[in-house]
Amino acid sequence: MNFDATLPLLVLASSLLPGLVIFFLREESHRLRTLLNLAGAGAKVILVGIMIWGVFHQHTYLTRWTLAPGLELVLHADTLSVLFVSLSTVLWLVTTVYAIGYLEKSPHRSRFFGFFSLCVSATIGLALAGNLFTFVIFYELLTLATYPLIAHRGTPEALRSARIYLRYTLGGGAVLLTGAVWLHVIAGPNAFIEGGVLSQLPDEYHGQLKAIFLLLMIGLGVKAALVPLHGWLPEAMVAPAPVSALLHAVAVVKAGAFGIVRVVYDVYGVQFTSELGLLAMLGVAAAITIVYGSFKALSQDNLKKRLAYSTVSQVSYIALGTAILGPIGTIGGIVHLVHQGIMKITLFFAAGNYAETLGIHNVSEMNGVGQRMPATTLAFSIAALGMIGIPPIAGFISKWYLGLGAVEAGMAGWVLPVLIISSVLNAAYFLPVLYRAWFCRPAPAWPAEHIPAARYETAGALLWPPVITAGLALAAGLFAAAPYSPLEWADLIAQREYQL
Amino acid sequence: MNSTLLLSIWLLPLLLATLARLRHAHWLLPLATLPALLAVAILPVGTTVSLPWLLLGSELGLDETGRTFLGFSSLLWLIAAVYIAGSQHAITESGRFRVFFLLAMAGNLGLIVAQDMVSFYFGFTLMGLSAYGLIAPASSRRARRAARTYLAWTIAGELLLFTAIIFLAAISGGALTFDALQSIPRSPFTVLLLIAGFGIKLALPLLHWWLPPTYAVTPVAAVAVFSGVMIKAGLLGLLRFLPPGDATPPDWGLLLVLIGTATIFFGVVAGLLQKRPRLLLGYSSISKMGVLTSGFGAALAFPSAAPGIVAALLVYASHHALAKTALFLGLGLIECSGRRISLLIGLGFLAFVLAGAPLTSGALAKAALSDSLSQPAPVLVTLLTVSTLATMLLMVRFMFLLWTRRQRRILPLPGVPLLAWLYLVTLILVLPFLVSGIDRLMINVVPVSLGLLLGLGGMLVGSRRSRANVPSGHFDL
Repeated sequence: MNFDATLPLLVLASSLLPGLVIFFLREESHRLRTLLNLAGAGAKVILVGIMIWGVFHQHTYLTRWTLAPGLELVLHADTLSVLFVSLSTVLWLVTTVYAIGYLEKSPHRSRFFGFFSLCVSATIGLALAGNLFTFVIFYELLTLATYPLIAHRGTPEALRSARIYLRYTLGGGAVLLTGAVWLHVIAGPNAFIEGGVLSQLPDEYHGQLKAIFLLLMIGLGVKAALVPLHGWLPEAMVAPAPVSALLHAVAVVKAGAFGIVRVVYDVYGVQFTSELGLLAMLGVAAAITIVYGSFKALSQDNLKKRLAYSTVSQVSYIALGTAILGPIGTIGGIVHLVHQGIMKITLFFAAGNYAETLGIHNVSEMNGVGQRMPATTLAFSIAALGMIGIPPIAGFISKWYLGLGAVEAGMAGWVLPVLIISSVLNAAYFLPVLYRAWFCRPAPAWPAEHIPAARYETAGALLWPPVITAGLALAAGLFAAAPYSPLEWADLIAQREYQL
Repeated sequence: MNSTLLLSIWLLPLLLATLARLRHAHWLLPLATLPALLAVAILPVGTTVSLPWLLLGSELGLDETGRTFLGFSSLLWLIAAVYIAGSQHAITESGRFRVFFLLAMAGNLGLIVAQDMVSFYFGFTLMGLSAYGLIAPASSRRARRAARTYLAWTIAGELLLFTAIIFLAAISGGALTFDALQSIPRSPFTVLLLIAGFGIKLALPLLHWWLPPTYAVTPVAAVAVFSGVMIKAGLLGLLRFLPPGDATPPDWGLLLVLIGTATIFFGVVAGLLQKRPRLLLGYSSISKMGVLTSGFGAALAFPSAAPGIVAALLVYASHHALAKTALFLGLGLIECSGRRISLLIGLGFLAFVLAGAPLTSGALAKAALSDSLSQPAPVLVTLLTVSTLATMLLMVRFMFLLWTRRQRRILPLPGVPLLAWLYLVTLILVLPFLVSGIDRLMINVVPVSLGLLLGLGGMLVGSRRSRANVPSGHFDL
């Protein structure tokens, strides 16, 4: 096996193997576990770096493993998978550092980090999946690897939420599987190919293809938290902060959104999806989700719950971009895959810091927190402003491309109002938080101050991750036109998709 | 070199903002204006720098319009910064106020050198949102409500502009520089969005609701930059996004002339009803923005005369910026240390300047605007004269309010703010003679004296009935 065929496997193994080893470590071997985690994450960063370079230069990285005739496990790096893999890799690294700081001295760390690595491995696997079959396998693995993380604390509430999560995602997974099998029956193995392949099928299949599309979207929509399939996400916020960060920014929700992008662009082909009239349906679902999620976020006092509903809304920007025909809208949706990730992970890190340092869980307890924890609050502010779409933060770039794409596709009439309503609502649920944090006088005492202010406002391992990801969110917007920015990469994906 | 200088107009205030929470950081505020002042002094007009890696591909540059705007804006930010640095005001002394002051400055000065839509929008947003902090929302419940109103209107304005910019980018095929957009026809919807978006900043009637509550609670040095400088970003926006010529159908010009005319009189009438001097000055600014809007409308309606009109608008905008800032800073001196004859004399002079009395920069501004309008639209010259009279009336009322203001303790005048104010007043006194001959400044004798007489007469009548409680303050929210 040469290097080109091994690289996807290596990228996958760099988190899978450490994860498997960690399961067998004793609880006290803190150092070894940290070393394994960071070595795996570091190795993955390097491997993905090679992959980015190669894919940019039209190199093919493909691992193929035939299970049965016509049934193959394929790992393949194309522009879209590299985008998602890079996002997961970078954010996994920061989240690992954060989780090490967050879970210090709490029980069951080996179990936690083991599943944590499995979860990332499954994400990497579905990102690199070269056909629908492989995708579905890793998609289901992700469900299973995430369940113990949500249930981690073992409280009745956590177990209940984890059960709800499992019910939703297993149900979604079954629907997805049904769709995938049906498609396999009528169209054979479905390799992901830029531009899609199904348009070559004869017309009499179109009815079936529409039904299959619906099944696939429902299956993926559960994880992507499309309304009304979003119920598990706000419940899952009982999980520890690093898990929430991972769920909302990297793994689960993103896997659903990524799947939608894959199916539309590389299975059906965006042109064909539009001809079948399915794109408009997806757009409507996305629009409803965007507005509904923001409305629900308005009334949440629990900070993590507010952020969870915000995710429901923001992730659907990706689906919205997919539903906009034309390269500009495609860029907007795909680039938001990255932008939403780095902004939302910042918000969850910051929320975790407030809870761990001062015992703050609710927005109403945040008065004056900017004075006590300026760096965390600054990071939170940058990400929140970015979510509203304020320049020069990453979210502005997404909103710009979505808006411009909608005008060019002649869809401005409904997409722009959705974007504007969403911006207004985002402002309405984020700005009061910022007002409290920066302008209000703090209460005489914090709810439960766990970590006293010393050299830093909180533990270093908790402080640096949000600062770094907030910096990334700022840089992704400010230097959007620079080479190797997420925007440039999304542009490359759109060019290859539309064969420009 | 040029690119470093242009970029540092943005960067220095932003960098200093990160240090502004430190103790004794107040002298960083004036420092932040240095790159802009330097750029006005040494950069040749027509300098442009492409920064393809910034935002969506940015272009910074200094054109004739930008140079004028940058000139008065950086000067006035400097003077306000010195004034704040030297004064002992509980709010303006806080680190938080300094941070927002520097951020708003970065946005304001930055948008002037932006030569593409996205950089402009960035600066405009940065300025608009940061100014929220200048209102000092934490100082009182009223301030909090005012700041919230301001923020809601500002965000509405941003979103209108965002939508307009998206439409512009779509018809230009992705080109973002003002240069490339020069002759692309704007759709009526886009024009409407732009007028509404910038109209909020200019506080045109019905879009002005944020202004009175904001001016009522904000520290006066910040109101000075609000009313003198930041409000002008609305005019610059119109000039940049709706260039006279092929881009905008002349009919829109007529509409703007009408809107502007309404604004002139709305500002005066509402101003006359005010009891607080700073609100009166605020409405006077609205009135003056009406003059600028009308003038801009005329430039759209008569494209052949546009270059002359735009040049005159720049003179007028500079004049108003200097005079209005000086009026507010002088008012601030009275507010902090009590009424004194010496301050009243200075403010009286400034009141005449604002009205356009002969031998002042007001006369110069009016002469420039009249000259440029006399050919295409003589009716607007008459309008200007009437507006002069009305402003004089308003200024008499202003002085009356100051005169009858309840006197509190007289405190010593703060030295540095006083010097900053005196410097500005002297500049206003001298400048017209440096750029124009005396004969050209001998205009407006009739409307100003008429306004003065009417005002004094009205005051006499009014003071006799003053205890009868005229229902005023209708516009005082």
